[in-house]
Amino acid sequence: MIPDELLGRRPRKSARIRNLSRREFLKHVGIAGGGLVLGLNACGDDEAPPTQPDAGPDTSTGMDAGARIMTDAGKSTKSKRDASMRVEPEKAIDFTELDTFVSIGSDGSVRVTVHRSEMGQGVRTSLAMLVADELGAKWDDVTVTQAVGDMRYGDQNTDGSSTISLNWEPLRKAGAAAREMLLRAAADKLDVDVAELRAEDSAIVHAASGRSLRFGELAEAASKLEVPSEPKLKAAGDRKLIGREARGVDFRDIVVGKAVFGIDVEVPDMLHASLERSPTLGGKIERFDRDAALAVSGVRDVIELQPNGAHTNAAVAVVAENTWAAMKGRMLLGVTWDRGTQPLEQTAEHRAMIADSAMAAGKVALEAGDMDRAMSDAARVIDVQYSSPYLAHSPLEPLVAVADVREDRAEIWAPTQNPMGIRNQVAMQLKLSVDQVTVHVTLLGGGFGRKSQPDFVLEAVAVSKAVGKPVKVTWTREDEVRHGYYRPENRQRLRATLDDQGAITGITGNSVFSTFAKLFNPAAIDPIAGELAMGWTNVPFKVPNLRLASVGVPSGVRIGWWRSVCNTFHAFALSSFVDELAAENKKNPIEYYKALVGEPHEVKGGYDTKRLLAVVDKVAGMGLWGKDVPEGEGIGFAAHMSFSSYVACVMHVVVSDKKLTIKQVDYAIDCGTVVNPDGVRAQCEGGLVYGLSAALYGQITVKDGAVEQGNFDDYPVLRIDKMPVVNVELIESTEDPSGIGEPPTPVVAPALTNAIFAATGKRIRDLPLSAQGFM
Amino acid sequence: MVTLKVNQQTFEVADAEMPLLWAIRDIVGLKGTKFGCGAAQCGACTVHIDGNAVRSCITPVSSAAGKSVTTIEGLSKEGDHPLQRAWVELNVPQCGYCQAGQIMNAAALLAKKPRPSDADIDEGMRGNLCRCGTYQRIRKAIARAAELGAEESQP
Repeated sequence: MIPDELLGRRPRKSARIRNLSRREFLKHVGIAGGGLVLGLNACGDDEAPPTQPDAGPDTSTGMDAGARIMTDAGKSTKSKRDASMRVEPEKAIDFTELDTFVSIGSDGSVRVTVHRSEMGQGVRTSLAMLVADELGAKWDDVTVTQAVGDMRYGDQNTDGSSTISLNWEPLRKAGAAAREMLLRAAADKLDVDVAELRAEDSAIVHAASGRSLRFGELAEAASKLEVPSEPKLKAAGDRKLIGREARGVDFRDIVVGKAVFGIDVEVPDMLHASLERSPTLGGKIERFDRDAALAVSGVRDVIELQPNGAHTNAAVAVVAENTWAAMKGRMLLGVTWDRGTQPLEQTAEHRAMIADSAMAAGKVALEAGDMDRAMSDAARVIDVQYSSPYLAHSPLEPLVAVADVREDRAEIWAPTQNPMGIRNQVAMQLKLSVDQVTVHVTLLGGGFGRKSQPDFVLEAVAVSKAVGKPVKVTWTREDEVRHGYYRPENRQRLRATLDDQGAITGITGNSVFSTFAKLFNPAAIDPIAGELAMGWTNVPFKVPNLRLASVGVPSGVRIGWWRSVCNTFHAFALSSFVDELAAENKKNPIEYYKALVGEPHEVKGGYDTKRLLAVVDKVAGMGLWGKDVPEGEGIGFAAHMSFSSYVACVMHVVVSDKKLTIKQVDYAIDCGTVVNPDGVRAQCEGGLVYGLSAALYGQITVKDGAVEQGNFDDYPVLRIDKMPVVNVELIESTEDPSGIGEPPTPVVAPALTNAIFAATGKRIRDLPLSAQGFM
Repeated sequence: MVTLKVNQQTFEVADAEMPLLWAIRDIVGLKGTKFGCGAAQCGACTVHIDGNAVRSCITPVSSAAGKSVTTIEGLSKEGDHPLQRAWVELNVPQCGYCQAGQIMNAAALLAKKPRPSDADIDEGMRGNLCRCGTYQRIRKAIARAAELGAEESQP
């Protein structure tokens, strides 16, 4: 029998909007916005936290999400027609701020401000855990509030799998500082030495006298103390939350449809817009039928938008009273575009250019030994190439943003990964100071790097400015697929020199792709060092002669970063190549891989090859590797380090004609100290699915400068019936934590194609598999 | 003018062509039902019409006239449908955007097949995409919800 509260049976109340005083709001977020600030409390304040009879901190279920949620995007739930989300006045909770990330509510709640964006990677939960653990808060007392974009929080750009690694120390310190303030306040009140006190379960306890004071009773006195700059962090053994299973703080809202994503934001007097964008970069509006759109009931306005720098195309916006009217009006625009006279990209030509570039010498990024000598002395050279196409991100929530632009200020609500970047760009666009721009961050219905980009917000800002009202711009799926910042089309040539015994004497490679640096510098062509350090120049193999080069190619579409960035294609090429070399030498692929990594050695970019080999050994021992499989089935292996995390993967595939069934995937991962183990497992499952979708089906092609795909019929992604069984093992570690949102993805394609090779003897060097006839 | 009954309440929608999805979101004001593709490819917009799972993004409101529409907000009074409980128990969501559609689709599946096989789950759920990749947990949660449902239906 599972206790009710673990099954989500806790009685729920309708979401209610609460009124936080403006003063209180300003105190916490430091912005110059005005008016009513509304917070959404999903669980109600008057409910006692669930009782957990025997669920102490040592049980895996001891951290069921009693945590309550507040979001300043709660405004969005205000709808007078809303039958289930009643808007009720509610007694204000006074929050007393102890430091930037910690406030104590007059109801005893412990409010943690989360400053990074939640897109499914679990940061609203894991960051709150860091703070709450150091603070000594009871998890059920913790509420989470989402920060607006503001420099006071530090780096908010939720990118590069960096949230936990960057905040591991600062957020624990924020919790520890608040704890020390509460301890000192308690020492004064109880007239005891601070050393006799400890913080636990949201109270300060004096064990000697059996007295204790709740955080809520101490908050005011504590808030008057100076915030300690170097608070003492707990010893690892004293942690109560970090490393234990925690339920996502938003899960209860999600399963009842009350979680607030960007698309759910609604503000008073808001209009809706749908944009017809130029299908090509640089295209200009020729003509369109304004009257046809205006004739649609509910359409209010039709607006022409000019391109904005590197990010947005020319577009025609239809502004209406509801989303459907805007979309319907847009369909009647019949815009014709002047695509200009410059050559427009065609995929076949673009690929031919990339193939030519792969044969060039390239710009050398890493050189060791004497590769020329190795080449001239080689008994044999293995010379192969790998390629993979443009990819769109396709988060399930399409891009969407609400902008309310006024004369002297602008307010944005958006599912953005980068609220500070948005704030700066909007201020620049409107010629306002950043203080005049407020960016509210909603939940993101997936991000994957796409929602780092500012385009969807800049468009909403332009439309709102033009109509003088708040506007929500909702993208269609076709808009998202056709107007992306794509993972670049790419190709790697790899050559290995072998001596007469078949031993490798050198490896040389050339990686060809379009750089995302063009977003920041229109003249940029060459891949930058940061891109090449993603799986290319930080190759872990200990070979005497090594030369790795790159060639940048121009692109007719926008290039961006896609879950794990350049690691996807570099891991595909190198992990496939090593598997090929193992096969050439008739060696066990894992043994061969380990031998190539060799003795522990320094790799450029802080790479610990011991940790890499430890995950390889771990995955080899998980049960799948080495298993005898029938004819037509194969087991493949790949390993890769990215974002300072080490991942090894073993995949079991059945190939029947060209029908693929992926049966099982074993993952071993070392991401340092684990904050929320089930969150890490979830990211492995998710990174796998994202990688499989790309490897099996993902392909964006371009004709006359315009993307050809548009929806999940021609840009398919993995469905549940193709989902393998996934097992994940985590390396126990005391190292600082490293990223987990991206590292599970790069190994997927090579593990799959290596498994296909094991099953069939056929080597797949070009993705996606669907383009090779696999299904 | 079409009269819509959503979660036992009635609403008037002027445009009979408007997809049910947008009527639910913009006119009724319930935001749990999501837009993902507009083409019945992803299932994020799944609601029930007279108990059957439909893709509201391609269903004009006219075809729901006189019928009973249920959205995620109306699936259970207290948010405690066996699927909702199983979803939380097994930590299914990641970003959460597709999950209302997944749960609504699964609810219709369980109503027809209270003890679905693994193959039934895959077949019944293949119209619902999850870009975060929660499929393994969705499978387990549906099986778990079936158990919970069976426990409850016993006297």
